[in-house]
Amino acid sequence: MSRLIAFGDSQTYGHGLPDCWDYEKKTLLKEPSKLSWPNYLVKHLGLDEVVLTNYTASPGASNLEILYKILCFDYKPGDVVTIYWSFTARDIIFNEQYYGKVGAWDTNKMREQIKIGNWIDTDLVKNWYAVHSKEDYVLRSWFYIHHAECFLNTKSIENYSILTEPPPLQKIFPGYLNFKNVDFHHDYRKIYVDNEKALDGLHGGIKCNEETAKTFHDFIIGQRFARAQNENK
Amino acid sequence: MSRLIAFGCNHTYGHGLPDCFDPIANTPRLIPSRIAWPHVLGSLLNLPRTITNVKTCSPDASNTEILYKILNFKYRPGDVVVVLWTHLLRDVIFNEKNLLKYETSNTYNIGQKVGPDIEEDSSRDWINAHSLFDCKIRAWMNVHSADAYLRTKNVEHYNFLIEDEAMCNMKNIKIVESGKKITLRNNFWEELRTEKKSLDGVHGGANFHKNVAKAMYQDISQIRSTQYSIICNINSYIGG
Repeated sequence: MSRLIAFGDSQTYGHGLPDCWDYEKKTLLKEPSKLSWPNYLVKHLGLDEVVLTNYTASPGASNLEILYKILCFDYKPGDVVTIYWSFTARDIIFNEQYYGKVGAWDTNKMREQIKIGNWIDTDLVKNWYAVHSKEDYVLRSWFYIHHAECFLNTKSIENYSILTEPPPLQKIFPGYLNFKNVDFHHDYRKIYVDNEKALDGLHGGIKCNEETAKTFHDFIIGQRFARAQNENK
Repeated sequence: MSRLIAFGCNHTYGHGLPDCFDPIANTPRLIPSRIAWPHVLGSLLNLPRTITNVKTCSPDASNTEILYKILNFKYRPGDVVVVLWTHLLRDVIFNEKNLLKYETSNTYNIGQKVGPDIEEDSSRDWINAHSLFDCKIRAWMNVHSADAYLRTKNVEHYNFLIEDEAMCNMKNIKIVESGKKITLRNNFWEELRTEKKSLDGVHGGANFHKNVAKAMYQDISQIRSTQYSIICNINSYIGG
């Protein structure tokens, strides 16, 4: 059975979409949406199943958290991995007290890892922002993306990446690294800006998710075609 | 021509060894020592050239800085890479113009000012933002990242740890369990503690470096003879 494994943050989770939104409390429900982009992409690609869980996509996830989950996931032959990388100005502080189990990620415990992001107002987060420069967290994100790609390539897992914020990422670009599976051609942020928002008023709505899936699909097909051409040479 | 490329911190640079120590200023000289373990290991492995320079090792380097250097280096066919990963409680903050370094003591009290542009407050901010456990996970991820990268480049490579207990004494954590498959000898901390010190009174002396090189050579030879080649045996990789 062919699977699409979708890693990412709240945009991949489907934060604010109608089927995972608590209308009374105005917060997200505990299971990811069936309307977010991976659910459309899996159909476009003709794969059997989408793996989109609390483990693979988590609201507030940083790129380090996404990378960590990619490294610890149990893959099967034929899996296709898609990654929608998050904002660079986020981080995670791993916490021993709440650490998950071997192999499987304990989702409940993982929620207790300390997330760093501009929506949190604590001393720890202030310390983090005081010490890390923009150059620092952008460069680290490139390293994480590169790490994931190298890791998945060594395991012969087909993998593709798209970026939430291309401009800052591409402005500080480590030219010594070679990325084969990252979509540098499409601005996914523009898809978000151009479409109406989800019920929380912040994340992308249904149309945005559909567009993201379509654009991501075009990129994957283009990559596959280029790879096939190279192999035939 | 086959080369040994040695990555690491002051323990690879040879800080305090007679040929790279300025006794008046009490600082390392600008070129790494030729008595340090990389040159000894290069001879044992019968490799014509050993590369240690500021692009591969520097005093006070953190594991993130070591990874940065590994990713930046231009490899040639036949290169053998050996990495001696450093202490956990260090970090580097990348800056547009330069690399800013942080180092903390094991007591978490305050960061030691080691870079030219660092304010003590920044170092304290770093300590306040990161836990020891967090540093351990990040250290393993650096090792893991370098390993994955060098595999994709088909570069023969070996990883060693200077801080064995702190990094290895972590159970039930997948990234660590997989890292142990990658990482070899890791008992250098004890040797560093017991062997005679170098001229700065802190780092390992010539005997320490000889012992480290010998231990590395034994491990590398064993791996080569049992066909456990990091290049060839992709299946031994994580989960494979």
